[in-house]
Amino acid sequence: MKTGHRLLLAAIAAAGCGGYTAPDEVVLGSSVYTQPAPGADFKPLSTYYLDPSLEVWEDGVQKPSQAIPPAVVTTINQRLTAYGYTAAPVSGLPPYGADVALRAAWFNNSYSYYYSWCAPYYYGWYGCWPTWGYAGSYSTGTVAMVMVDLRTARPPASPPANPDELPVLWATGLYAVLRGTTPDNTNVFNQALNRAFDQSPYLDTH
Amino acid sequence: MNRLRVVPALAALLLLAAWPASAQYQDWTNYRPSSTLFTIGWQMAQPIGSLHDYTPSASFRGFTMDWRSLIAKSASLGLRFNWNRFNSTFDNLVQTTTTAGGSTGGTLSGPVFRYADQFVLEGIAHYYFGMGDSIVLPYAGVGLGGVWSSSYQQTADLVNSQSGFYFIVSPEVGLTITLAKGSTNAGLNLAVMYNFTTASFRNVSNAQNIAETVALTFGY
Repeated sequence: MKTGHRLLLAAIAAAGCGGYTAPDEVVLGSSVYTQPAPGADFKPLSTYYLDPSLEVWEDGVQKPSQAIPPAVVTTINQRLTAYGYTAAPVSGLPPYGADVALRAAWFNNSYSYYYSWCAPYYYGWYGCWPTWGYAGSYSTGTVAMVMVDLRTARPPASPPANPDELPVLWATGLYAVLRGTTPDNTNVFNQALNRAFDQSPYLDTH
Repeated sequence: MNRLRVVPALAALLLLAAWPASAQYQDWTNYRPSSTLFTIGWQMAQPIGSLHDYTPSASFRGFTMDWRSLIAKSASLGLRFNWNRFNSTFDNLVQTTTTAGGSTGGTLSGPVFRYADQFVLEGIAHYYFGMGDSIVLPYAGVGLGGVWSSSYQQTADLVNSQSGFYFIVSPEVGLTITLAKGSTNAGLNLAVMYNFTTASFRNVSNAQNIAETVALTFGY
């Protein structure tokens, strides 16, 4: 068979059989999910507290927490400041003195799982303080972060099932942003975090 | 035995043995109208409506195969199988959801890969205009049957897929250009069809497409 005919057959086979797997830019990319609590009003908020520890979960088992990388802390502080929030002096637990608190967790899993320790506050995400959960599945390197309402006099909203829990005002899931064994590689993490704030303009208190 | 007598006798035997082959050859080349049509070829398709929103790219890897039996001089009934595949990659797709109460829902952004396969099996009916000695034979037809739809989405490490069997109706117009005539006829088949299905998945409702066929038709 001539080379030209072989190339033609190869091209036809590639056209017919290709396209069943996602390209690298999708597989190795990151996705960002954000969601406000239904009816949440962010305008009255002014102060925040960022929990400096990053929860670590591996295959559903909680490991010792690690510090949020400084570069990520900087990004969060910068974006919240731009939206009109100021870091609050805090005292006690929950961190009284702040209107909202932000807490993050890093999920490194090799299988799907389901847990919901807290009341289902809205679809998919569950939230409370100081612990929280997600109904769904993660593969590897996902970071989730929630903003919870710390105000003692909160506007009427769907109350958490447990009186000790605090309602989540905003949640974000950053998929496939930390694929290594340490949270030190923060480039993709920071890019995804910036996208999370970009696609949540309702957080602006101005 | 006299050699002069044997040779003519053998020649006569060979001539008699060759007689049926000669008759078959004449039958092969003699034209007779086809009663059965078999079509096989390539199909491409363009998604429309919500299927276009889901995968804007056209399918260039379709395949079609049908069998038609003439039930009258200008009409046929038959079966058709075809397949089309739509797939698209988005560098950064932003998708939003709403909650059950209609409040602001979630927003998901990121690179997305999607595909939608459609495997179709239909009963088909066609009417032919000017069935006779003309080289070009226009026709119109319709197909009714089922479509197995399989769709898939992936963003980063999140994967979601759906599949199901749905109804499909496919009105069609086309023409056959005769390339060779004999007891077996061959022609080039060009057709355009509109596929309406009840396939629904994700944000797709009643997946539809326009498909073009370039095929070879053999008539017996």
